[in-house]
Amino acid sequence: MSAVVFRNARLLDPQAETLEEGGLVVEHGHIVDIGHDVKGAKGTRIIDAAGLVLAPGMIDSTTFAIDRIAALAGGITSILLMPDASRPPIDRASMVQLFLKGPHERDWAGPRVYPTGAATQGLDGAAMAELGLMAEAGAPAFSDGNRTIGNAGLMRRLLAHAARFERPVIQKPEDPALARCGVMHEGATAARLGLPGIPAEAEALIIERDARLARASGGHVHFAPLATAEGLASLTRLKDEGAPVTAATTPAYFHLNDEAVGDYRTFARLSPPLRSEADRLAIREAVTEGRIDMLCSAHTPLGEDDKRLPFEEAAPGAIGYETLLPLSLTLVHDGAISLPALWRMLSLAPAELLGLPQGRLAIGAPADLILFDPEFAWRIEAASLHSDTANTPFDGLPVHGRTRLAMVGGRILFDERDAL
Amino acid sequence: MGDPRELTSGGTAPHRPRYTRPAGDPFAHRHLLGIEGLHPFEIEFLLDEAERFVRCRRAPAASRREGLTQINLFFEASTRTLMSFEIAGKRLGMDTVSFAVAASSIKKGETLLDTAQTLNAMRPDVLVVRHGSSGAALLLARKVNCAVINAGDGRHEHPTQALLDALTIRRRKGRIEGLEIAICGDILHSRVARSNIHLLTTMGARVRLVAPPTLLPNDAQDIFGTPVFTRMEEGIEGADVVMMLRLQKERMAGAYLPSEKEFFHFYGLTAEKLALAADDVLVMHPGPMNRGVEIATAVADDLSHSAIEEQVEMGVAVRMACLSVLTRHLVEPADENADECSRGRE
Repeated sequence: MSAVVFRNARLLDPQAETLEEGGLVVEHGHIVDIGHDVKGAKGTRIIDAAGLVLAPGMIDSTTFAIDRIAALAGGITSILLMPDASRPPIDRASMVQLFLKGPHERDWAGPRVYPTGAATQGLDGAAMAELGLMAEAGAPAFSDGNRTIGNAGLMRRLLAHAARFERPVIQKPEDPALARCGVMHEGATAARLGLPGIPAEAEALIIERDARLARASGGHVHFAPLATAEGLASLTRLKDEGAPVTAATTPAYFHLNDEAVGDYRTFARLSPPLRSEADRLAIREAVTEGRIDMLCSAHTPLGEDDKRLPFEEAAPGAIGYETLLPLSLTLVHDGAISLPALWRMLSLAPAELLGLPQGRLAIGAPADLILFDPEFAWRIEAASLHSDTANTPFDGLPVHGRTRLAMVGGRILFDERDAL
Repeated sequence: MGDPRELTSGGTAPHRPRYTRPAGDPFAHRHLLGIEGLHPFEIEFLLDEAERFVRCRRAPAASRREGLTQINLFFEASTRTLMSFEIAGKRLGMDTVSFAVAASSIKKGETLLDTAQTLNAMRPDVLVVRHGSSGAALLLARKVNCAVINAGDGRHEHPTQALLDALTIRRRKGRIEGLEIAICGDILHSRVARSNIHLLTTMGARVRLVAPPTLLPNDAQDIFGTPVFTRMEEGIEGADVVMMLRLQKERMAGAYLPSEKEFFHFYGLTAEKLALAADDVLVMHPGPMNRGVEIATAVADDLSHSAIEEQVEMGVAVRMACLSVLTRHLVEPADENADECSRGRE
């Protein structure tokens, strides 16, 4: 594999939390040198970054589709695929092997794909799936994806069994009994529109329950995505008490509130639903203060057949790969958080959760890198994104920040430096 | 022939008592409800008594219990334990009656205590009880006038199983003290595990527990005072004895474990895993075995390590010992010197 030297870049190191000018050398798929005056061997390909930011590629810890080009264009070089992204679900070792993708497959030109093993057989929420065999096959985490594991006894044993294999259980924090039939946040908008609501308490109930179960069973529970102030308060308190928990949210929950549903806009139907303005502000503050560990996209492509329906019948979810970077960068442009601190939530924290070696700007780490321009101004136009579908609630929003190049395992798989 | 232990034969040297017995009755208990709380000398006494019966198909005259009534009250399905108690009783000359639960009035709504009182009115001399609820044997013992032997109560204890395991180990290894013994499998639900942990630690063995976290009580390490391993390879390393537990099939359908396949992969005893134990490791299983689930057929049938058949054989001797010890106040004092195997056979 040919070597690559990046020069004249701004190096973004989420571990040291620094942003400094310099260069970097990639050989055999790994970072082999970092510094001001780096040199490669003779004949090495040299890339002049022209002042762009060179960072470890983002690791998206919750996604529901591979959507290869959209992920790379968004600056995402590793994705954790939820088990319900496939039908039948990823609930056995052979399915894990089928979905595990990366540079080890010569003809795979996309991000590294890590399948999350289903926590229960067929996502039935009743019988434990073969966590051990799936862990051996390469599943870095277990989850029932969009379905919350409602049975506390089962959740306790899942956490204990997953802990035996040193894997976290990812839980959507939404009490299924409270959420049943609900399609949006229970509040004024739902009452006005005549739509069944999901009370905000549905989130805190699961966080309170599962954090305690994790503590008792020796397991680790990761909540994704978080959307309410109450859930956040529970999370913060339990973390302070030392409970083995982490949490993620998506930019939608600190950019939008339930009023985005407006006159039944199904692109604003998410799961969990967009919450109140107070919830939005609380989530935004928690992200900037580091009380939420990481950001993810919850990327869910849905076509017209799923979205052009009465609100209650439409499927929940939005695409998110290409909007994750610019929507997260708004916090930096607003001066609410530093770029290195934000990057910790986009690369290092998910790597640590999943036990992955990438997500770091360090010698010896896999060369999963991106070049991006944090100041580049553009307008999100759903139709011109690379995603398979256009279901984003951010259509028309002016934003800053765009990925110019993406490298996975030393191979450049996306390069738009000249196109823009 | 003053020492009855000289009657024992076999490949190993006769066992010499290690624990000083206090003067008087060496087993001053009316019932045998569990191992917990027994003194080392009491356990040793029962094992020594059992040793006397190992070679004798029929009990020696002084140990015969002609005319006494033994009722086997089994509320749970059992083949080997029930048979073992029946044969033990018959070899002592007792009249044994086994009470089949399916045909009993329990199914008609009678409570356990009503049944106990009914049976008590028939004046048995010893009641052997197995029940699915922990503590059932103790409840019965408080209500009846005869000796009660616990043949397994729920997840609590199965004392005769632990005794027969101990006898097997002692005969094969010559001792219990100081041995490294790994108990592997469903510790959480196993009465065999509980009785064995009590017995083996009381007798000075170093016990380790090996199980998936879902089949261990929380904080097992502190509760039992034994090291706990969730990786079998680490847990059986260098072990002198590997004791496998039976896994209930219904526990493997996703409630506690994902599948039999996964359990066997991580916790099944295979020749590969067994190679990590001591060279002269003894493999035990209380039966009935789930081949290919907790134990590979090749390991179960390997006579150089497996003591599984011997355990069944020791079961009868141990149960003869328990029955005769608990009923010895009911017979005329006999001349211990007449206590010979050959006479018993006649």
